[in-house]
Amino acid sequence: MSIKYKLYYDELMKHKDAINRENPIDLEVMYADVKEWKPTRSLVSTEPVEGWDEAVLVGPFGNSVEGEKVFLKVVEELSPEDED
Amino acid sequence: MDLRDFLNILKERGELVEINEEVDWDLEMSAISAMTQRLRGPALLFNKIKGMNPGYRAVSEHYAGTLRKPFRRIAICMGIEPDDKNWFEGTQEIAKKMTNVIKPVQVATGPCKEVIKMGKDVNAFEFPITYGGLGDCGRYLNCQTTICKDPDSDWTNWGNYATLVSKRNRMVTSASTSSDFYALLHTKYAPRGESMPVAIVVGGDPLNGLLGGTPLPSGVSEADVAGGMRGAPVELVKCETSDILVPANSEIVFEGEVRAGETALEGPKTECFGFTVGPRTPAPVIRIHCVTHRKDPIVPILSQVTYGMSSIESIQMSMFAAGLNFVMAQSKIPIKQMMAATVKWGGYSNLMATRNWYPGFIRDMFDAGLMFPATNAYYDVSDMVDDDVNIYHVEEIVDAIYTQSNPAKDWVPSSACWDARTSGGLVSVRSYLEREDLAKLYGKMTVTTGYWTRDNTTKGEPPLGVRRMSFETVLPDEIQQWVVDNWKKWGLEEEPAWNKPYLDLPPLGM
Repeated sequence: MSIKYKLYYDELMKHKDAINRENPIDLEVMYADVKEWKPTRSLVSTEPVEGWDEAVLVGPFGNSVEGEKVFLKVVEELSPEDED
Repeated sequence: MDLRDFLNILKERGELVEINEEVDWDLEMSAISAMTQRLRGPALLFNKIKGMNPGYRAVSEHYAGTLRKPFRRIAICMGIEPDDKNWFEGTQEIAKKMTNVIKPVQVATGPCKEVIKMGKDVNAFEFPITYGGLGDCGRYLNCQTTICKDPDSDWTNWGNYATLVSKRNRMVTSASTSSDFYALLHTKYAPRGESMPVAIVVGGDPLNGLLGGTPLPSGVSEADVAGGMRGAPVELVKCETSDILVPANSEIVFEGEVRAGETALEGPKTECFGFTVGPRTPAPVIRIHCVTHRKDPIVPILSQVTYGMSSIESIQMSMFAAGLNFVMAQSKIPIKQMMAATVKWGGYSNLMATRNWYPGFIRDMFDAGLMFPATNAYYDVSDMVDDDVNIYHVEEIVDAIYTQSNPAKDWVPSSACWDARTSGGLVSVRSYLEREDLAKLYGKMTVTTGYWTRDNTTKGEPPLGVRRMSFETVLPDEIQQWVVDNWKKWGLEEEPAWNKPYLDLPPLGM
């Protein structure tokens, strides 16, 4: 499975009570292919879930800034792309 | 000179290598650049980039120095010949050129207009903008010129601010709250309820990128200085969606606007200060309405991954130093020479040689010279030394610190707290800030939390009249002559350095 998203640890922790729950949360994620941030409504799990995507957490993890993984399902991309 | 002319000269002189194998903008270009930087190697032109249109290229380390010729690429960029000057000679040349100004001229069109895209066709991700390091919050343009204009005068500001590409038509600037960008936005446009037109220029004359990062006083248009340095007016074209004028020979121009109060989270990112700057903090959004570019654009990159004689440090050693001297020449402070240290960008030392020392000199110098936003935003430590100390030799500086100054008396601390023009993002942070300090500063002012000025000048008459230990001061003349006369006979190739005068100059402000 390849990494589809990046999440910042500090920011995910603002929603830590919602992890592994059934209610999606408003979460901005970075799409790893293009490195674009998008606001989403997503479900987050610490364990693999069939059909969900892998996200890497960015934070202080020993000698690396990328470490732990979580599993994410984007239920909805919020707000259309901003018009000019 | 445009970027392509510059790169051709670099190649002719063996300073550039073209990489024709496909590389990825996602970390790979940054990694290759970091390695060449570590090796003090050539500039790199990436001719084939994954996912990019054919002909879309990137270049890195085009300003960097090598051990033998630390100033060479900057010299080539400036048109300074011969190109093998040392830093002192080179900085003097640059400072001299900066005293001339030639106003730019407006032309009808230019190479930057070969392709024009508006609205829905704008996509910043179609260009090879790098993702530089793990932990970066996105792809950054870090070798670009952000142009904004004073609506009440003909002052146009060029600034170099690392800029996040957050969406296809949105960027987020990391301009410091002490920058002219912020000053214009919040003192001229916001009070009038107007958005500020902005152009982000990539490529063009390589001198332009250097000037954007040079600490020139507010009100000075970098285009005027660029013309003076080139000896010919810069040719500018009008943007498609605003009245901003941009260099006609640019590679890419992103045209947009900033609406006061519209922010998005920016950071963290690997920064030239030597660490990953974070956490994510609110910073101004630039809405991109139009992009114009050459058919086969080249995106210049400034790798910020390692330390050493990289492009960043080379820029600091040359333009910053020249800019500092330009600023100090306006004052009456008898400083002979100022420079910014080569060790690390972010100005952990700001070195100067002086004479006519008097009590309180440090404070006067600090107040007059280093409280300019452009300088104080960067420098945490300033070292003052006698005028016979070569401030381009780190060893001589260290020697002066440890032999001529008493930390209890001669190291003067100051907490410089910037009265930010707006409550904006936290920028210009320092690696030594604790998390609790960062939390206090989040969303508030930019603060430089510690500032040291060290007086490493000779205070009294030293014993035996010898101020400094050197070949010339502690060895008899006849022995010195004997060494010089026999140097080559002993199989040693380098010319011996003997009695090299240094800084035979009048003080800047006198």
